[in-house]
Amino acid sequence: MNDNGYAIDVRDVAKTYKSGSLEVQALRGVTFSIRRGEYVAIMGPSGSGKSTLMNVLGCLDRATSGTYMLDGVDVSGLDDNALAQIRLKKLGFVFQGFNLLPRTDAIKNVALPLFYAGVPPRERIAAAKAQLAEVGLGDRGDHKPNELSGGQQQRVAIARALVNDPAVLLADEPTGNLDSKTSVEILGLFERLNAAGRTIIMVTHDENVASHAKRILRVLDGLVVSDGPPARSAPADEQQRSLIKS
Amino acid sequence: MISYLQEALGVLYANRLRTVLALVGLMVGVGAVIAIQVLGQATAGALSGSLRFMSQDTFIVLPDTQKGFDPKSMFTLDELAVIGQMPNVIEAIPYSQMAVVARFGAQTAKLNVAPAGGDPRFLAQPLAAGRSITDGDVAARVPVCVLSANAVTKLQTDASTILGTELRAGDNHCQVIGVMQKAPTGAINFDFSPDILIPYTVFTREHLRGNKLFEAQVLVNDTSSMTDTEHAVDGYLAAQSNGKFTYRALDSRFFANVLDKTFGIISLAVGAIGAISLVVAGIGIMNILLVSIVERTREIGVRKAIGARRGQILLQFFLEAALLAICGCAFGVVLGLGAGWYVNSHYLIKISGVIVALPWLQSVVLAIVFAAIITLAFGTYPAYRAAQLDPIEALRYE
Repeated sequence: MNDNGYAIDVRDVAKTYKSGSLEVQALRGVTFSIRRGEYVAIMGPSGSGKSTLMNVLGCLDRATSGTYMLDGVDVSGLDDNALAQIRLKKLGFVFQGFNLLPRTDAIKNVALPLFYAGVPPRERIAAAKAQLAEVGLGDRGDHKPNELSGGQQQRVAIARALVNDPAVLLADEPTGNLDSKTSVEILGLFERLNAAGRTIIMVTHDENVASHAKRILRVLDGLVVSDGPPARSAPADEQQRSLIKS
Repeated sequence: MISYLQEALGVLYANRLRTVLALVGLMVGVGAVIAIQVLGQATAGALSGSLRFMSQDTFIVLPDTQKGFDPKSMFTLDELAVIGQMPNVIEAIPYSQMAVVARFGAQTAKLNVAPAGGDPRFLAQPLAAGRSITDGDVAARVPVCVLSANAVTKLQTDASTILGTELRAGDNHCQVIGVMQKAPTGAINFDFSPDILIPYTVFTREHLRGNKLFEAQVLVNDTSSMTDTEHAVDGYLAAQSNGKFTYRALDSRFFANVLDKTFGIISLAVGAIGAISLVVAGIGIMNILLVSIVERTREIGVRKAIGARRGQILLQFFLEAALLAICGCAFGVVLGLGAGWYVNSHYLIKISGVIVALPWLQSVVLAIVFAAIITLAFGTYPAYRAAQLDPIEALRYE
């Protein structure tokens, strides 16, 4: 493994969608890197390309051009099955809509990635229970998604994302379906996880949510337009920037 | 693999409602197909079984009455004697029945008297007790008789009581020397079997009284050349009438042909009903499996995002469908054969009196193969489609 301390290293990544004769350039060549242990928010209005970037980073979609190193592995040219293997080993997903399997209890939902990784049943269940306890749901393992609140469902989803000990946790609008109080809980959980060394990348359009991250990448029209720590307040941000520039 | 089976079982258990619906659909479909097939074939079997009423060694000769019956076409006992001497013919006897009132003790019953030859093959049914009419009885015109089981029942007695006694039949008496076994009474009741068989020489003396014959029954030695013998007899009788009349012969093969045509039609109808039930069952199974597509497409998206490979997803869905197919077919076979057996043993056999072995194997194989193909196809194909999708698209699928 080419270990240079980067969890993610993206160079000149472009993505063009073709629908019929129409070509849409969703990403026009973005370059950035994220070190291990960072907590990054990707922001941008809808249509900016942030979802595409998220999908490329999550190995759910392939870039049209450019190189993408994930945890020291070049994943740019991998086929579907190899990408699935990368998602299984190196990535954990948290979605806006939770996307838990219905009518399946929390433990089995969390244990699902371990099933595909070929871990024996008993170890799967033990690991799932431990992971649920880590997100504060140790007593809800046998509850099904419809018996859990939104915040609890999202915690189950986070536990599922983490159970394979991934290099990067990718969260797509993780608080989009939650009320503000629950959102704060989930963001608090992210901060705890980050403090414990997790690399977290979160896509959001909400400034308040993004302000919890330690670094914000702003995407507009398929390009990264700004990259820096969040401002506590807008004027302070301006001051900081002018200080840095001078 | 065992791990995948467990996972498939787990998913089937977690989605109990869907699983039960699919199983019920499969079960009812497979069961209905099997029951209809089995009962259809059992019915045809019962009908054909109940219609085997004629000895395979005899044929009946009679004037061709297609242009109407002419009394001049009837033939004489002398002509019958000539037929009796023809090659391959063992014995030729009058074929007729006379209704008489029989009296035994205080009981009376309306019974049919019919002639028989000295060969036991003229008996409509095998003997249950006593002896058959012999050539000696025929030659000496001994007034003996063999009774059908039906006659014994109508006279409200039993074989051991009536055997050896004198029975009054109309104006005549006969000594009961034998009782035949119970005839299988058919679903369609062609009751051609006579109640009282007496030597045909006694019959001609007591009932025919010099009248000419309309029909004769001919017992042949070699059934393989029966057709030739029939032609010879027909030709002889036609020649006796100077070509004025034609005659025809009816044998068990003739009736078998008629029956085969009839049952061909019945079988076709049963097959058509079975085919319809197969299609209906197939559509039912298909619907249940397809209804869950939206939810399952999202599920596949989740599984792919988590890192499942396409092959892993397909294997799992295939196993789920296979488990459904196996269980559904097993229940369906039990249901179908159970229903078939119940109706057959409680109704069909009682009505027809013919015990028909249920022809189950073909129906079961047909139903299972069909249901399994549908289940595997419609259980796996949507999964195949969904597994081809990008995980992003599958997750967005509404």
